[in-house]
Amino acid sequence: MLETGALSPEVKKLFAQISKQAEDYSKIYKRIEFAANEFENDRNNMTKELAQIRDDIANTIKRLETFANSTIEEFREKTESTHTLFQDLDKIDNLKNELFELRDDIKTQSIDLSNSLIEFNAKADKSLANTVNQIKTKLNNAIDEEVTKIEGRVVRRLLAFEKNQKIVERRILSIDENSKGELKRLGGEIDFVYGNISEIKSDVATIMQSVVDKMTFLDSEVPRIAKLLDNTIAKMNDSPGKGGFAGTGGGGGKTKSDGLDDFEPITDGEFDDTMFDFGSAPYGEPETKEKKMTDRELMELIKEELDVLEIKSESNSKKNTLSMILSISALVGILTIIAMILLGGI
Amino acid sequence: MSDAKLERILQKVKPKTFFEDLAEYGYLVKYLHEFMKDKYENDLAFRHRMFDIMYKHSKYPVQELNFYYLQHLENVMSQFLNKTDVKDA
Repeated sequence: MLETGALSPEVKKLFAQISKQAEDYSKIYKRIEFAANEFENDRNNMTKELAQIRDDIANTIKRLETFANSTIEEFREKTESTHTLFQDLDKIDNLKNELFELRDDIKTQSIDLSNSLIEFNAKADKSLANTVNQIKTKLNNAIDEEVTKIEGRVVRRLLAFEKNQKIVERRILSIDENSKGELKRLGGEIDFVYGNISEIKSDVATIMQSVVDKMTFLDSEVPRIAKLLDNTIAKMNDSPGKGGFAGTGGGGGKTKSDGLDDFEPITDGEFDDTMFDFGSAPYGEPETKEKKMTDRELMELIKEELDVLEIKSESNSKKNTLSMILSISALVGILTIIAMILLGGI
Repeated sequence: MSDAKLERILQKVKPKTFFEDLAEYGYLVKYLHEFMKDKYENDLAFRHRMFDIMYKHSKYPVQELNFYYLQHLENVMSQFLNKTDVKDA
């Protein structure tokens, strides 16, 4: 209610009523606005959903179209394949009919062929029997001829074989005798060698003993010779003006002859002539040297002879084995020929 | 002194005017019709100022003020009706 006295109470009441109605209107407008906002939101959501649904529908329509197209294509291919299958079936039917006709023809032809085969077999049996008889007679004649020829050859070869066998036996006997003589000779030579081995051993022992004695003698003589050489050198050095080893050489021939006059020769007791002669044999040459050489030569000779004998015996044995193999093979050949003849006769 | 400055001073001091005394005793309308008729009828700002004084200080109902406010109410209502017309929506 307005707090003024300038306005009449009716006007005031009117304004109060209008203000109340305005408040009611504002409330209602707020509600309407809220509802309008909600409606707008719902409308936006609905439009979005509608657009999505439209897209989904469009996609589904496209997918359905592609599926339908693929299905139609597949159906078309299958119909074509069935059509071709039906065509093949018709061809198979035709082939089947042709096959039945061919089977009937083959039956008739096989009957004819069996008849002709029976006739041919009969004719062939006859002709075969005739030819077999002819071949048998020819073969028998040929075998008889060949058997007579082979018998003659076998007899000749047996004679030759016997001759050869006798010759070989003689050779074997002579080789045996020779080998026995050679063996006897070799046994004697080996006994001789074994007998001389002890002598060779004793000779070697004496040579070794002489070498040892010579070495001991040289060992004892070396210091004495060294002392002698020292004395000689000292004497020559003591007289330098008279032409020693330490002189200047200014003295000439006279001083040298003086020095030689003063030089004392070595006595027989002090110096041994054979002391430095290692080539000679002062204590005696071993007497068995020549004998040893002959033994060695004898051994080599025996070895050579043994080798020759071994080669000879090897060649003889080879010859014997070869002749044995030849005789066995000839015997086997003769036996096989005899067996063949006998079997052919049977 | 300018009018604006005078107005500001008056607003701060708030002196009780002759118009307010007349309005308090219910003689302002008669005074304005008899002595300031031309200004009251032609000067719209002055008239609104007088209406404001009457509204704030008068202890008796004033027909012209009732008429003025009812007319204003009519204008507002007509605008409201025009805006909330169903046909426009």
